[in-house]
Amino acid sequence: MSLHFYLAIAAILFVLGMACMVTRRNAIALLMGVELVLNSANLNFVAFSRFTEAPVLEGQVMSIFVIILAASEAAVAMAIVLNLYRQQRSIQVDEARELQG
Amino acid sequence: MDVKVVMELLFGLLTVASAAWVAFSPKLLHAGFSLLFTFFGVAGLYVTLGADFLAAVQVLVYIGGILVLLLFGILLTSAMPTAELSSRAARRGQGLLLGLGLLALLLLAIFRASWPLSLPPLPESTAAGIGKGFMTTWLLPFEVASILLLGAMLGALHLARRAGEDA
Repeated sequence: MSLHFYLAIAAILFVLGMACMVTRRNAIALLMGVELVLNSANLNFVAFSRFTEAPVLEGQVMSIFVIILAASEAAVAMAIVLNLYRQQRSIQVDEARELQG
Repeated sequence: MDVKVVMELLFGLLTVASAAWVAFSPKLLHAGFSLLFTFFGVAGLYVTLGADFLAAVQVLVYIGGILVLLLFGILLTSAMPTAELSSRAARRGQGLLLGLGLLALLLLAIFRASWPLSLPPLPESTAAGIGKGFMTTWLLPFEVASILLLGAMLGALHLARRAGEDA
């Protein structure tokens, strides 16, 4: 299977993640969309490092750094969401209009 | 057909189908569990690309860490986890339009561009090379990432504290 197959899968993942972020109002559903987008970026990195002349491991190391970022982002975002829920009893993002703690 | 091609098609289909369910499922908890299959499908695609260590990291961090965190969040914040997600019809139309346009653009770019293709030989196992790389070539980003993780951990702890509670 060629590079195009993986790039197409990653493009579909990216678009679905975007659609998830655009249409959902629930903060946790937005986070899921972000994870989909990050996964599609990772898939692109690995596919490019496999099928082009770049060294094989470079794309994989880049993906590991992206996973590190995703993990820390998820932890901080989850803390914010739980705080929001405690204050507003709701995590619909269009109801959260106050940022001041 | 080759076994590898079958695996690629299978994992690709699993990834795309479950990601579509994540994006469009009316129930949040179903979307959360569907995300598990997406992460697993991507890990399978990593294996077909020869990235065995990365596939293990994907399963450990995404499924074992991030997904569990998200599911905890869903269960903690919704009184009725199977309740309908509010998603406005107008927004849904706009999102569909945006998504289809973006997908057409991306696919056009992918299939029209001329990529410098080659198929370098795969190492037996990637874990050794990645470990050596982290201790030599990518030492600085590795250390910066560890500081970032520490900062994120402290930040998350600080944010999750109840207001007025002492550290």
